[in-house]
Amino acid sequence: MIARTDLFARVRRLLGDENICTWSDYEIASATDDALSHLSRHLAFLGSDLTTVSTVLADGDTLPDDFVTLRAVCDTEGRQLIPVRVGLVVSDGGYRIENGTFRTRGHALVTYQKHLPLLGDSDSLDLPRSLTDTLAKTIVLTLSGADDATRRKALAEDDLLLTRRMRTRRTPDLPWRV
Amino acid sequence: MTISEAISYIRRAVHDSSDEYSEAEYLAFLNEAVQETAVLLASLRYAPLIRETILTNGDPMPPDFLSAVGCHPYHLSENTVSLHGGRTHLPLRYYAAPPLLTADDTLPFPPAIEEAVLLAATVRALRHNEYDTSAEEAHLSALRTALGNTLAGKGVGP
Repeated sequence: MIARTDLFARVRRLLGDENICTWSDYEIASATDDALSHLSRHLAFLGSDLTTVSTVLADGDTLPDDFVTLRAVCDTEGRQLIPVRVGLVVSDGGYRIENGTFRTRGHALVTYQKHLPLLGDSDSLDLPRSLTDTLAKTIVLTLSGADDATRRKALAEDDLLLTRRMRTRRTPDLPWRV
Repeated sequence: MTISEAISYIRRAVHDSSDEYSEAEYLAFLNEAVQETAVLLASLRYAPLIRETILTNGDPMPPDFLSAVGCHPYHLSENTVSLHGGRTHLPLRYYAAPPLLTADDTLPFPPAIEEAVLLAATVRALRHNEYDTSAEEAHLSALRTALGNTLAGKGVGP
């Protein structure tokens, strides 16, 4: 759990703004949510276990609100499904994502990378405290107007750490592997 | 420094042995210099000028408002506050101008900054009589640059 006050204090220290002379809390909160979105995409790219979740979706269900990218899809008996291109009929053993809607035969277990929770007006973030430094650094870059490429480059030195700490294997915990 | 001490300082600096300016005129020079210096200090993010208030939707901005500390979710229209996102109240940190001085006040800045105020008031008094103030203005400019470097934590020199 990362407390809002701890995170903001860390960010202000990095910015050299402990006196609250330059940045408002509102700006830091906005930059925090922007940084969390960037970090979510970055962790999804790394395939981090921290943001990997599974859920059962039926044919016609919309994708979850926190969906970032797909990791794997299998049927209820643990057999991996293969993606079917738009225009082809989804038969047994296949699935498709079409305009944010999941299409398959019956139900499927969908494993995906989710978005990290946003801060909004809450007092804390439901994230490991060990992520505080990485998040604070990303917030500072966001406030400095850095673009995505610069933020990715700045996070590169954390990648190995993030990968080692959070990604134990490349494939998700599919039932047939357990 | 009291106002009477400040006026004596400026009177000496402009060699006003014949009481050419009244106390009220010196006070006006001082007030202009204080307000000008406050604007400069706000641009340098001088923390002691910061005040806090609670903004209410539809209210005017505080009369001493110079600039906000960072961005806040509001916009101004004809000096009336409109808060964003359905808010009715909003805590605001802002840089405030000091109140206008009277003869019984003291200068609202520490001694290191008082010198810039006194010099600015002196330049105004000299300029009022159309004296050549280039030397004083150069000195004031150097002093303000040094003040800016100090407040920004920058060293002077290589």
